[in-house]
Amino acid sequence: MSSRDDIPEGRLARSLVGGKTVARVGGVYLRYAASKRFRSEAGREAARREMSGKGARILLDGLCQLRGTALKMAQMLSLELDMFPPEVRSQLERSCNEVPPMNRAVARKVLVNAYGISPEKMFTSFDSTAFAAASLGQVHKALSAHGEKLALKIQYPGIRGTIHNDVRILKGLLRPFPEYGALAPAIGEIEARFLEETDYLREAENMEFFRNSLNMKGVFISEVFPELCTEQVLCVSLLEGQPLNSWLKTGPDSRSRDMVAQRLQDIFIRSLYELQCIHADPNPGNFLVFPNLEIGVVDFGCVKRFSPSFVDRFRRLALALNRNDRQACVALLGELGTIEEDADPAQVQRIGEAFATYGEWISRLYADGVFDFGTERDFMREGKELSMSMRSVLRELNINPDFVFLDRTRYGLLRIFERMEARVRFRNPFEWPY
Amino acid sequence: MKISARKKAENRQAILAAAVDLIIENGVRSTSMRAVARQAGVGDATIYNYFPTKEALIQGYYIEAFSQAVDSLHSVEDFEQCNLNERLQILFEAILECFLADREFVNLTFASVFFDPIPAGKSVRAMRNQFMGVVKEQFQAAEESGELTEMMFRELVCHFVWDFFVAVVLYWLRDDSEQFSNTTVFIDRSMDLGYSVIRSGVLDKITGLASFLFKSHILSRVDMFDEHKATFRKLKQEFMDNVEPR
Repeated sequence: MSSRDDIPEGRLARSLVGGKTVARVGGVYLRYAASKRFRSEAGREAARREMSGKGARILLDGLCQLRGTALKMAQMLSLELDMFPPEVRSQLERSCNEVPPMNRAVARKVLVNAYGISPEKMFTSFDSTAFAAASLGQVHKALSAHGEKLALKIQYPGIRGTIHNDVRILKGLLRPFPEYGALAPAIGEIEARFLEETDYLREAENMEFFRNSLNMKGVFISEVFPELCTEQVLCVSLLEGQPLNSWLKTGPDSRSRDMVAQRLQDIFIRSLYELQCIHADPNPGNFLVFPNLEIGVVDFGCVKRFSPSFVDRFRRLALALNRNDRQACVALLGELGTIEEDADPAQVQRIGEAFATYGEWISRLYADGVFDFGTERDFMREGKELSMSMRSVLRELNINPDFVFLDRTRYGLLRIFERMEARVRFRNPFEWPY
Repeated sequence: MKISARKKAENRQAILAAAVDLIIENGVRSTSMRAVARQAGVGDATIYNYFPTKEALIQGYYIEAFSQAVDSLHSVEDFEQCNLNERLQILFEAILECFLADREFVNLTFASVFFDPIPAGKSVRAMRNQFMGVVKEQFQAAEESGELTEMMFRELVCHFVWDFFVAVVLYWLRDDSEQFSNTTVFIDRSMDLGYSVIRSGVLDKITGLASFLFKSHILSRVDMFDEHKATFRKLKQEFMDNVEPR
């Protein structure tokens, strides 16, 4: 027996957890399927809802046991792919706060591994209880030898090695859900992003880049302490704002909400058009609000860089949409590689029409000077229905992956604005032609 | 010639360090007491004042490492606030950290010391007791803080922790993951499970059930004896009467 055989990477145990969950989700579905034909129309709908609720809860239980990657994936799926029924989504969103933390002994061990000495020797003080959960790790407060307040993001040991297995398990878990077909491709991409996100040195670089280049009034990004960063530990200055979701729970007035939302939108526009690089994880937990309504941005694990030519085309596409210039739109879609060169005219026609409908929807944001998510309550729902109905057309498209990324980030932001019921100015010099 | 206690401790350290180096270089078999003595700079005969045999020397290393690990626990700032499984995890990791620099030595000697087919000798028992003493303290602390209800079979559970520890070291010796993170995960996961079993009191419930059954059986027999007490007394009387010499 080779020495490798001696060390299970814990896949068996992890699969057991996963397998149990699959069995339970499957069981719930089976029960639903068996009783389906004996119910009235209304009863059937109620039963379906109950079933996805139960399925979701069991799924969550399973994911929580796996910790790390699987859970993070669930969060991403819930945020970005608005395809789960609300029951599933609310369970997954709850999971953001319910990550079982790694205990003090493990957190300590990660630091000892990173620095070679105990945290007591490294820092003036180190709080062994985490104050925030970062999906693939957690964040602790510490005080440096020079008296700076620090946030230490610590990664659960060995998580990189488990990503691949977790992705496989997650696929198994999701298979019973009707949305699986649509989700499967996204999962592959998520796996690639995880490998990026678990490299904290890279995150440190990203953070430094944004801190040096974003330069926006009222927007703060932590300072990185590179000499204290390793692949598993990220050490930055502590930002003491309140996470956006808990800030919203304090019931801020509409003026404050508008102001915060506008800042988030401005960050996005400026990053995209001036830096050609966006913070691509618009999770409400990643934005901190200070008492004076200034914003802190954290978690630069997921950052997307675009080529200047892509950004330029995207900008011209937005301009064309806002001018309602359908021909220019089709031409730009071609340039973006979304419509293939050898597409037949009928296909181009279909795609053009579908895109025009999408354009009508998105340009509503720009129609008036200010878009009010508080009154336009149906806007996001309509967008979701639209994307569902466009699925058949989407299948014909060779969608530029950058485009998907960008669209998903923007969609995530819009969902945050919707939840904030904020009024946001979308017109900006880059996208508004007049 | 009498030497100071400090000099004695220094010699001991030097001998252990020399033994670790030589055994890593040449293996256990090819390392002689004499070679160790010379590398450590003590007399060929003096070494036997410290360790009568090579085995004792190796065991001496482990006793030393355990003590160091236990000492290092005092420097953990919030050890007092940790719950039982965190404490045990910290203890395990501390011991492994002490072993780390001498990992090759541990690899060559650990199994022979702790897996000896001959029932564990006195010094292995001493080591185990030292380890279990620390573990028991943690259990006691957990009981005092109300984290655990008082356990009937603490001794047994502590033995179990010892066996688990030996397993962890063997796992660690075969772990080839970066910074041995698989071992950390292994400890974390299995400790989590063990801890919840202990906390749920399953053990006590099982043993409680067993002792209940046992007691009720015994008591019913005792009752039977009680009922027939008079008969027994009579029998005894007769027997004694017979035995009594005339």
